[in-house]
Amino acid sequence: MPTSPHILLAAPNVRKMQTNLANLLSHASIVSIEGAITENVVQLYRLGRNHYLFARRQTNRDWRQKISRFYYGAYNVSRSVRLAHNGEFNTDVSDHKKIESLPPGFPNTALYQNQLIALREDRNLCDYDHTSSITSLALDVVSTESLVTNFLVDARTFLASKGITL
Amino acid sequence: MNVSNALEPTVISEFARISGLKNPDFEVKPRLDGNAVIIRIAEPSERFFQAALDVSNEAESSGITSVTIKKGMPKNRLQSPEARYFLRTLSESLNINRFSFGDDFFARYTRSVSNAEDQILARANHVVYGRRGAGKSSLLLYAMRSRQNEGEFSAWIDMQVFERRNDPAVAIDIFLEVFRQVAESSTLKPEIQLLETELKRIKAEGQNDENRLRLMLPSIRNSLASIGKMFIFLDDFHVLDIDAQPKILGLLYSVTRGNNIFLKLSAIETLTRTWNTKDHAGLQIPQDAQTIKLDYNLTVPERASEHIEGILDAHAKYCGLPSVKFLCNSPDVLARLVWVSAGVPRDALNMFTQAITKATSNNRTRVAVSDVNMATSEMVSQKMRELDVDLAGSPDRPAISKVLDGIKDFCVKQQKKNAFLIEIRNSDPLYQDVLKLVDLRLLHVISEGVTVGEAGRKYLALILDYGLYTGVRAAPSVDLFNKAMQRVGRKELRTLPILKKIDTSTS
Repeated sequence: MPTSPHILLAAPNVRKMQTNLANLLSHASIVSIEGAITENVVQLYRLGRNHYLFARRQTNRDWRQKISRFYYGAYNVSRSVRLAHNGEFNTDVSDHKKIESLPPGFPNTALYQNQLIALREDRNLCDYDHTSSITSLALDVVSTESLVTNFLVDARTFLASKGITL
Repeated sequence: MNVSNALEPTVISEFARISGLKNPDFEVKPRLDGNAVIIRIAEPSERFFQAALDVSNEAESSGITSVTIKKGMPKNRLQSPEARYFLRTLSESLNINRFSFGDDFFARYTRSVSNAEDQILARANHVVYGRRGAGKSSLLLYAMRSRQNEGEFSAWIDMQVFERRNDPAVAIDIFLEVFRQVAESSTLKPEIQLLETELKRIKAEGQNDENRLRLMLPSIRNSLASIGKMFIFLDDFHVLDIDAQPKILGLLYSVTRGNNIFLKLSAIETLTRTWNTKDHAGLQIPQDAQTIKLDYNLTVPERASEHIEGILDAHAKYCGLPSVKFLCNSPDVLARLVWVSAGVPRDALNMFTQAITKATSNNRTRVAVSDVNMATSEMVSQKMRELDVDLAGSPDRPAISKVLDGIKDFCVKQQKKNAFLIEIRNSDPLYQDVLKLVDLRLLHVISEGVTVGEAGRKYLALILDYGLYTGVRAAPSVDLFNKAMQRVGRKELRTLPILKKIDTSTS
């Protein structure tokens, strides 16, 4: 959670803030804001990647943790992409429902939208439903790993196309 | 009523309506706040995910939390919903018209072997030649849809309506059809409406004299110019009476030439005459129009194979299958299909459709080579029917049938081979008849120029259509040429028997 002073707390949407200050601030200041946004994009992506790498190390015996961490891997990478694209950043629980909101130009959008919704439901089931078993998952563990792996790769390519090197 | 039954008429049927995949394999799993529907597809593509998203949005109110697509292997490949969809899709693709494939045209289109797509889009007149099913109409449709995407107007005339006609009113009908299609997208200008009325009056009065029509050509020309730049597609032009063809083209060309309007024809070459030397009428090749030839027969088997597999794969993927090979029990199935269809895409699609049906009725889970063989022998009767259609009313009809019988006799009975050579001599009626049989897909070219000993003489190497002598297995007495279905060397071609003449009197 960022604490003040922090670029992501400067306005509800830092991209909009950056655009609206364009005539007031010097070019160097605008570039500096861009740099701070990019830094957060990179950190969010890395956070997602850490969850992903942790998930990969888990065995299927720990399927609840494995799916849950894969979900957080995808969720934080989705946040990273959304921040880069339109300055969207939110720590509210409702932001989880935006995991599938991907920007235009992101590859295989329908696939990711559909599968990330299923992953979010699977994660809820893993973390909160004591009656569920591994067969309750909509996407099995192998499919989930493949989905998140591809999502991270596509997100990296997409961010690179926006000039953000991870 | 259990959950599955309750969902079936709503979520699943709605998914089927949007995606085209009927009765997909699905299951329902409980979630914390409702139920998730999981639909299994062998190889889902983006459009299936999009269909699931669309259905999800609608289903939220009925306690469905999500509709998810999951990749899943069907137990019986040929009986799977995806395979049944594929079969339906192939059947639909056998006849191309201006409405074929709707918005999904480009997702299902496979580019031609010769990359003719760039040519056909050029602002020039074109005649696309190829045998039946070679992809002529598809290429014209590619051009029309590409232009539609650019917001440009085209008119599509299906010439089948004018089959065997030989009167100047054909041109009137074409002009009226162009005006009708213009009216579909915009209101006709008053002067065009007047012209339309006049043309209809001439037709109704039965005064189909060419001179009267010619007097109207300048007005028609001006009217068409006011519509703007345009392509006029004339699909299957060869079905017109051959003597009428140059005359009709001449009338059309007189209003399109230099008027930002371009004619795009598809036709079978040996049944087409674009220019009448005596009357100086029609389209002269290459100054007035260029030709695009789509047919490669079996002269480049690997390219034909790549093309046909590409077309089948595009349809398979559209239907949620990984590839067409997924439905075959060995790589030989597709190799055989390409060879027996002689590289003609529509024949390959048709035969593969039949082969799937054969395999399914024999309770096989995948298509085998024997299924393709059986489909081939049935296909020949269809080709014979098409021979009747293509040569309807033509004095050639009895002669061609006799020539075919004579060649079969020469190959199967006398030489016991399924391939032969014939000297390339344009003045030789037998050679001309052989070319017609090639266009009718009863003979297939395997090499366009073979020399046998004597310098200056060139031969065409041909193979009999498989359906003429095969059932489930090839006729055992016939020595099958190129069983491996690969490109053949000149040395091997030179060993083929030479057809010099046939006895048509006893056939």
